[in-house]
Amino acid sequence: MADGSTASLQPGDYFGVLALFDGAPRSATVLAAGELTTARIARGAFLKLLRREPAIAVGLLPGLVGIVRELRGT
Amino acid sequence: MSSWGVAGVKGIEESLEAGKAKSLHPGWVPVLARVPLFQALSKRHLGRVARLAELKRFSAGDQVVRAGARGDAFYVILDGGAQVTPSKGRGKKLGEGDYFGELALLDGAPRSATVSAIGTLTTARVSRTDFQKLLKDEPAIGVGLAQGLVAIVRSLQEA
Repeated sequence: MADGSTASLQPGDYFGVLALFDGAPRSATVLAAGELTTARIARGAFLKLLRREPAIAVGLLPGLVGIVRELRGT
Repeated sequence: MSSWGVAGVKGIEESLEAGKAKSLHPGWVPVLARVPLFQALSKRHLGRVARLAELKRFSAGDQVVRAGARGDAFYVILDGGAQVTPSKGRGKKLGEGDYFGELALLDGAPRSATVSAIGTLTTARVSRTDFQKLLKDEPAIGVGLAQGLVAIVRSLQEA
């Protein structure tokens, strides 16, 4: 990670959620520690889905607000 | 703090007072555009949010919102000053162009602070109920709001 620390991920863990919205540069390199199977959602397909079904974006708002509040401590 | 002059503020007041802003003041949408939550909204969507605003006036000492109460509206200060007293931590003063309660539009969470009018205070108020109605009516606004929230998360992560 950017601060030099590392973390290991387990089945059920995830990363890159915010990248679905903004496509920002990755803050870390992620390497397979052995054989690894993932489910991947491409940003293009996600944004297309939101355009077609914007109510999904509305449904994501409370979760995003929760992240903001947690980071802010309010 | 605000960069718009007193003349502009008075104009916004008058146009909001005229009722649900048929003739929306041209300075009002840019004020909303500066709120990070709204940063990714299109001009048309900003206009729809802008039209929800109602003028609300307070006298010295009046409570605008009370800590612990349900977050039922977003406020922008058009004229005057307000004192923010959080349930914990340091207070601060707000002036013309400052705003608070924008996240409450989305989650209605309890207020983290009491805000009171220092003198005569004029605000533009957007109610959570009206905002949620707008989101149902025009869910595409939700895409822009989500993008705004992601940008806020990124800036908080960098801080």
